[in-house]
Amino acid sequence: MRMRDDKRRITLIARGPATPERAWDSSSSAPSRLMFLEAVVLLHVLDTGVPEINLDVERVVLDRSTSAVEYLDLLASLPTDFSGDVLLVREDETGFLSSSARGGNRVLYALSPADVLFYLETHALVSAAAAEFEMPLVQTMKAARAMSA
Amino acid sequence: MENDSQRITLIARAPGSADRTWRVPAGSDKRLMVIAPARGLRHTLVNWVLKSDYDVERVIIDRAVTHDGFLELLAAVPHDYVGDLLMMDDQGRGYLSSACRGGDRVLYRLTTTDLDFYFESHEVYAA
Repeated sequence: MRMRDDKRRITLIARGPATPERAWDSSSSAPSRLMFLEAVVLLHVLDTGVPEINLDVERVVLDRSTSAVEYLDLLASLPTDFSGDVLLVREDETGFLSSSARGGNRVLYALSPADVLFYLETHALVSAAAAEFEMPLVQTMKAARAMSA
Repeated sequence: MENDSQRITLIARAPGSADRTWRVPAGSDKRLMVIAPARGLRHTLVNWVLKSDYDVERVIIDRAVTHDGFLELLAAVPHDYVGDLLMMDDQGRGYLSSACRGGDRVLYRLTTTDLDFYFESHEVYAA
């Protein structure tokens, strides 16, 4: 399928040069078209304004490559007519999800590692098999956190 | 506690950081409460202050929380709290979360000038 014929909505994924791999489902049969960008490039693009880039962006995922202050800056500068999700995944796999609410404003949710995986899997951004593979790692992290608490 | 009809501007700062004095003008319809929670700002605000009967009009977090911590606080704020939440960071920037008509919150990034304007317009001063 040629890119211009691809009618799927777009998920922009920001990664850094050192971001660990994740089993993204970027196949042509996936429900969302994944576009990968360097985090700095993506933040610049979003700061310029999502409507101006003329892409049908369904959501933005900042995958272990963006700081909390960059995320705050991004949320504060999002165009009001952008209604997609903006997901921040932190190094420890916890995250924050900014979603549009009924009135068009945004609601922020704190996500556990399991929540992040659930989000990625239910939106078919990663393959289910990959999510099952990654889940034991999350459980291990939760157990380690519980032990250190 | 002289006049309980006065709405509260709550200043939250880190324990041991009293380098800035906050005040409101004499005769103001606001009163200031300053806290420096040792147990954790989010816990104190979310589980105590914002759920209490205190009429908190706004919370100003004076360099007492990281950006990660502010995100966690925003995600945990009770839905029925409709006051402002303002975070000031070490670089003099601010982030203001304000409730809008439907009860959802909107986030603004504030410059130093914006912060000055905010404080002046709400008659809260720091020196």
